[in-house]
Amino acid sequence: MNRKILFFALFCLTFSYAIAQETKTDTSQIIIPIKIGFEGEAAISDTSSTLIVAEDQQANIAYNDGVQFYQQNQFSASVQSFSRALELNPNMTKAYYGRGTSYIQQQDYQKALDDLTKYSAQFPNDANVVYLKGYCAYYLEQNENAVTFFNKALDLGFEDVNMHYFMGVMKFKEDKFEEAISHFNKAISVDPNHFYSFNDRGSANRMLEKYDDAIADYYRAIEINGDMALLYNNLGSAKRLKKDFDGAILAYDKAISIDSEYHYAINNKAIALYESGKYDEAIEVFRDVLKLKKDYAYAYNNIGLCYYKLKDFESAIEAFSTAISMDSEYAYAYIHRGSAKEMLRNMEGACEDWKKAKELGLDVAEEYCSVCIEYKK
Amino acid sequence: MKIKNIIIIALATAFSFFVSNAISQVPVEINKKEFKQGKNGYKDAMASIKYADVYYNMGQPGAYRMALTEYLNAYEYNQHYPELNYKIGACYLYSTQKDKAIDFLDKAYKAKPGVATDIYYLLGWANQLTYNFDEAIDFYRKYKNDNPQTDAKKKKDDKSVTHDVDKKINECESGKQLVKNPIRVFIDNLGSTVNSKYPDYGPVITTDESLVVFTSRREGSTDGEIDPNDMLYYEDLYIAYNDDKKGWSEAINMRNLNTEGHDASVGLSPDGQILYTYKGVPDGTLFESKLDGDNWTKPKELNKNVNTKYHETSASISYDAKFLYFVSDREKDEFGNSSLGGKDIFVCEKQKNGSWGPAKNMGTPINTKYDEEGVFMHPDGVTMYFCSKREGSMGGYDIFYCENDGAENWSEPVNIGYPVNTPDDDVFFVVAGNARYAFYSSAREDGYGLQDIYRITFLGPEKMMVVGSEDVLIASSTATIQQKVEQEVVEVKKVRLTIMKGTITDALSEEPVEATIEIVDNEKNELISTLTSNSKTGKYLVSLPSGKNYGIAVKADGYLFYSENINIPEATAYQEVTKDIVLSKVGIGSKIVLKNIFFDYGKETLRETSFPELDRLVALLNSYPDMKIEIGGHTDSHGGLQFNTQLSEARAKSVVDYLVEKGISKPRLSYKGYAYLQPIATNDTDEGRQQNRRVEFKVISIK
Repeated sequence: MNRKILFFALFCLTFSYAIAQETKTDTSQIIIPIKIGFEGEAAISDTSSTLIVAEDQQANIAYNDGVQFYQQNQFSASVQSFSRALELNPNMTKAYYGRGTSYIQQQDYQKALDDLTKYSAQFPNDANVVYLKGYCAYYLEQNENAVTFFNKALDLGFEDVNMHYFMGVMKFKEDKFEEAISHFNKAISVDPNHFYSFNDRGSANRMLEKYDDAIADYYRAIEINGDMALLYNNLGSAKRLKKDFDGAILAYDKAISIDSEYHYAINNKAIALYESGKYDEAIEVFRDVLKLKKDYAYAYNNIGLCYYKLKDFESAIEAFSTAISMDSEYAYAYIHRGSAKEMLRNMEGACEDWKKAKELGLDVAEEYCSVCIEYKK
Repeated sequence: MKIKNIIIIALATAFSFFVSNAISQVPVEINKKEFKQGKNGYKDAMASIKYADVYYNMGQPGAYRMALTEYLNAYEYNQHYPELNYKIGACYLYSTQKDKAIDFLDKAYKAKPGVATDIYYLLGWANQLTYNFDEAIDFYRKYKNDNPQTDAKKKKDDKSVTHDVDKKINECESGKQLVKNPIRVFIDNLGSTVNSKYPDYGPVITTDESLVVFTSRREGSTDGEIDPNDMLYYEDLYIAYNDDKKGWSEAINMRNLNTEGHDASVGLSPDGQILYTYKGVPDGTLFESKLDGDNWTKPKELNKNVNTKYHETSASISYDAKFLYFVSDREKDEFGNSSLGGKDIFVCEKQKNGSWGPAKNMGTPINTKYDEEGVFMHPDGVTMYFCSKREGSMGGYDIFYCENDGAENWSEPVNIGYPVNTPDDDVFFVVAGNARYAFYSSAREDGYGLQDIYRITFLGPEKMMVVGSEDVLIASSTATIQQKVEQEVVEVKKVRLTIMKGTITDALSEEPVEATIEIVDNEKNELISTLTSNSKTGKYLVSLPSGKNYGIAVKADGYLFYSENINIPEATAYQEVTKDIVLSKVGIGSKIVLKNIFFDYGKETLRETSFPELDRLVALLNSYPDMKIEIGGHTDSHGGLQFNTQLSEARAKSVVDYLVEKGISKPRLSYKGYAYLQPIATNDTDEGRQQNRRVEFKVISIK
């Protein structure tokens, strides 16, 4: 799926006056832009009428420049201006806020958090800043801190859909799916069109094997935003796990029609074919995945499984070996190759593979290895 | 009467009720017009059919085979004649090519639905045998609708259950389930050195699969006579040996066991030293033969507790030779328990005088109102395999297994599964010590003819197959998440058994020695079993189920005994231990390590578990009244010399005190503490130190 489209959609839908940002593509997290306003902190316009000493006047000028740069989305320049203001007047707390928010826009969350912390030392009950600190902590993966900040912001009366959403995501990543669902529910109550929350709640339901609920959530997310391959792919996987292979394949096809290079959906479609016993067809589709991603170990493993089911154990071994050559720590591929070798009466080879899988942490392989000593002749 | 016939005839006898009725109602009405070849064709066909009918009406399995040949001759002249197709189909149901029956029966039925009153039953059976269970059920139901007297008969005479149509329907339902969930096995023909184009069946094996004894109807049988009942050679016993490198040897006729009549193999002790055979005369009798060197002793009829006027057909001895399990159709056991129906499994316990005690019906859940057959007690002492027509069978006899909890409670028998079990009779089934392999006979397409011996390799449940799949589950992340894979525990049946085997030889000549091997439960101070090594080869094999501390004593006249201690914790999985034992002749200076002497930690107090070993020493000293010995105590190198010297001497003295207490005169005994000064192994390892901590006795003088 095209990440830029997703980002644009998020931007337009959620924050009409959100400040633009530079996205980073090398992180696994997609930055959800946040609302940072300066309504209460208007630029100091009339510097001449004040009794501020010269340095303070310079500081004010620098601060005002910072605000202007910020509003023009020139965050490097705004950081410089706010820094200059602070050099001239270290007590200008609001400059910490300005620089901190600029750092957020630059996705330099640690520096942002440092500045916002200095700001909140003076204004501990500024709910917006507490929330921003939670936001930074979230992206710094300081989950405990993030939850503390978010909860404090809530206590201070701050309400924001993303805050609930982020808490849901954090719980999801901790495999606490029930709690995650509870947070996604709150997010949805704040914003009934928050498709992120619908998708992620669907995923939490999927992990809880509540496939009907998952499917309903994915459908709702698609209703809100029907152009995302990701949503159709997830819908397909929920249906596949529910053994509705035809329905799954339809959903995967839709995902592929939206983004023909979305290899996850192609791989999953082939898995649905495999799981419905259409091994030859599945092999063809797995090969399509490899046309897009030639070093995709999963696809080779899956091709091996198809050959195994077709009782073509030599071809299966070849495919599993290729998967292993691409990912030498692919424990399941060792298990599978061992099983194929077993069927070809190569017990020595099978036991070697199972032993390797055991070394890679698959406890179940230990059970397989236990019989190796009993094979003979 | 051969054992296979016993089983087949059981089926045939009851089936003949239907067939014989059918025959009387289904005269082969030869219509001259239907024979295109004209007068000669009609004449030849008529002759074949008349000849075949004689056999057919005999209602015997072998006779059906003879009838089939003639019917097939007639079939050459007219392939569309319903009655002929019907009879050919019926004959095939008694052949080893049962799958051929269905085409003929189907043809007969389509041409003439009322060709015979039991056509539905036979079509049901033929479909069942070819795994068309749904069709089989339909035909059985039709048969039942046409023959409502079946149920009435069932109520009146419960013995008719063998032919209960409801039972057949249940078998089909079981078959559907079993076929849906097949077990994973390799089934390998033992090859041309063992199998022949004639029926080969009834394999029995040593627990280490080093040999197989089986029954064959091949050419070259004793006296070369043919059984007129089935026109096959009389059964003879054959033996073949397994070599890890060369595979199975040529099967050898066991001439000194075989007689002019039928001789069939039914059981073999785990060490291959006792063979149980079956003879149909006078009334289904079990015999025992022992291996003396390389000669089998003349088969001896088992005592009257085992053999009765009823049929006793298969036998299996427990790993400790204390129990004999066998099959009989007697009506009551010697404890007054009635048979549960048909053939049941019974057990006899060995008496102190070595004879088999009164037989006891094993009762439920092993025995049922249906027939049980082919009992095999696994050397793990826990698992019993047997065949039964009970509920849950997919047709005829199926192989089941159940387990003992150690307190004579048996678990509910479990069908071993398809494809080992089939809708046909599956009878003879023996399992190697590791339970990974089993042997049975089967009529398969890849065979050398009729029935062959096959080796089954159990692969266990399917290993886990995990597809490589990933999804971006969190919309605000590009990170993929894999569905969690539950690492399902694959249930692998674990055999907790140690096989200890090797050869016993003379220390000087290195010649094999025939020795007695006593296995003692050290904790219970109880003799578990006594076995003998082969006098010709010195080979021995003992089965030691896990969960005991075993004391093993090897004794032979003129030799000092040899002792071994094997502690096998409960959880120990299957293992084979090869231990060659060298016996020293009694003579001055000869000495042995007493490996089953146990002391309290750091003390000289003898534990009770030492008493069996010490009693053996007492017996040896009583056998040689002039023998004087020294008991030597030894320690490992832990601790100082003074402490170890005192401890080893005190322990040696404890042994001497015990011997004196048991009546050995004190002047014959001396003792010495050697501390750690005479190690027999390294003191750098636990194992070595354990070997060094020992008590030895040495012969000082003997007249």
